[in-house]
Amino acid sequence: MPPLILKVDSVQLAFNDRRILQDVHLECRQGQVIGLLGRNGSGKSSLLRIIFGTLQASYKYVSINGDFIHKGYQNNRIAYLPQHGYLPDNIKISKLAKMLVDEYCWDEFNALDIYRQHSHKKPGQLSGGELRQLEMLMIIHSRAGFILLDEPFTHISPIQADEFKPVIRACAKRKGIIITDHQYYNILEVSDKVILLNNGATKHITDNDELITYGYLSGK
Amino acid sequence: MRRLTTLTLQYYRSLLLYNITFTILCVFLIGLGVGTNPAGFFFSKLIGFAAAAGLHYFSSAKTYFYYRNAGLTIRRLYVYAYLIDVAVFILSTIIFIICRHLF
Repeated sequence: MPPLILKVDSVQLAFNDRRILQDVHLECRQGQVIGLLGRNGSGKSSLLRIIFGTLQASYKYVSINGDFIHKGYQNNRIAYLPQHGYLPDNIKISKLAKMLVDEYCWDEFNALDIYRQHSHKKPGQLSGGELRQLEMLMIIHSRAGFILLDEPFTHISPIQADEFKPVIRACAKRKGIIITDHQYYNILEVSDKVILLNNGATKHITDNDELITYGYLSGK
Repeated sequence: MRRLTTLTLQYYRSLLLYNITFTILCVFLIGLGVGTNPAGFFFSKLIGFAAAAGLHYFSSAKTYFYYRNAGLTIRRLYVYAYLIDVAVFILSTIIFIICRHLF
């Protein structure tokens, strides 16, 4: 089966007459990791939520293989890791995981140390870092063909971030991933293609020095 | 279907405390003869459910991403949870009326 292509085009978003997104175009095919960088308030999270379908844009065109997608999450087409925790506190991890994780990935997920250690617990019983790891792993192993990761490296230690990068790369063999984080070095390492959100527009970065040119990095 | 049922029950369970409060209130109102017509019966339950869902939204809106990541829209979740709620309400009302006649 040929890889699916997620296209995001002509997204426009404004809050109180302030234009956040105005000229956004990106394309992600299954097998690819797209890194999304940008300063605070540049609209990275808003863009991911528009693609996922939980934030209403003034205008957007989101499609998978040419089919317009109104709400990305419907029918498990797109999964999204928000910046905050999203699991209900009063249900065991094992029961939550069974609802999210793809049955074809279940054995792989079930073999993960962190899941085996905490499957019998509830989210409220885990530390912030442990919960973040499990939340991310559930999204990565979900049924969706495209995965949006909003700050996956935040709240986890550097060594855990290093452990996750191969997991993300392995996941990208069968899914398309769009990932954003302020730890830009992790994004640069894990991504096939980097896009910078600058003044509401997407700039496709071909050389990391362009991040200095566009004022994202200081260059010092 | 089984997955959908489990997700709906998981959501309904998170509403349980609010729902018990509103359901008991409605059952007593009906038991006291305040709202005996079927329209009033379902309307009072709808108001009770909406209040419970509203309270849940303000306290746990972040968890909606869990249900969305499972592929469900929140509107669909509300509808299914309401149907479960009405079934629980009818059952508890019947039990209450039977008990009132017996004792």
